[in-house]
Amino acid sequence: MTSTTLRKKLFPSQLDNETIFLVVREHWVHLLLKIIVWAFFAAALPLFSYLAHAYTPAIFDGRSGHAFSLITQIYTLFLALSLLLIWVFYYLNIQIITDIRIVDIDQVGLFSHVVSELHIDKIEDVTSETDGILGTIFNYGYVYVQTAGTIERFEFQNVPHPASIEKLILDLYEKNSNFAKDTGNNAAQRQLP
Amino acid sequence: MDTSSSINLIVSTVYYAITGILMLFSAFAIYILIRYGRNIILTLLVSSVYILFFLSILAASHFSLNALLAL
Repeated sequence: MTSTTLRKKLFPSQLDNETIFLVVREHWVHLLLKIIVWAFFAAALPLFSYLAHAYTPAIFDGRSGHAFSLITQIYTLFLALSLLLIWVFYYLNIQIITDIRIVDIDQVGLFSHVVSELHIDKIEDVTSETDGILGTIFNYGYVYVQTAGTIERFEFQNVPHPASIEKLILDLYEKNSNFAKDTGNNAAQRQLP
Repeated sequence: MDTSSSINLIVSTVYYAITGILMLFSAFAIYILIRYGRNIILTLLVSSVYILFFLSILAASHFSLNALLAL
């Protein structure tokens, strides 16, 4: 197995000659916040066990002991599944900027996977926004791309360096506009499936 | 496994219902991870670690259930 076969295409319609400029996910601080909330629920388990040992040690004898073990084990299964889902949703939600389009891949829920594409030449406006204490300290925020297409606005949520992403998109748009002026073609007319 | 009493039957039914739903959701989460994940090694690594952990806790819980119902 070669290294190229170990990595699939980033999105289904990716061209072989398409240049990927940026692959961006939610900022790690947001993932950390979710994990911290998860950790509170996880910490409840040993805390409850400790308190039960300290104040009601009789609960661990006989039938109630087995029942207590069963409940804690099922709770652990819930914790494991929730941690997996937190990571899966973080890993599968990405935005990709190439030389001809912007792709937004959203795993909305377990049963909903949405891929949206926006050609660079359809962009009308790009806005970046950094909001809040954490966003200011860690430099993450939102990027809004106004379009002329079916989806009126693309949103990049909680992405790192939103101003840089805005600049990148505008630079690509300008480059594409100059290319269109020079050759009479635009990105949409390149060999797209 | 002693399921003669109605309480044991209810307990075992609830246990299998909950663990069955958890297994279904776990299976689907792993499926979408492998299907839409971009790095095969990473997805297989995460999936196998999760499956090992989940199955070991599930087995332990099944033993606890059997011990509970036997009393």
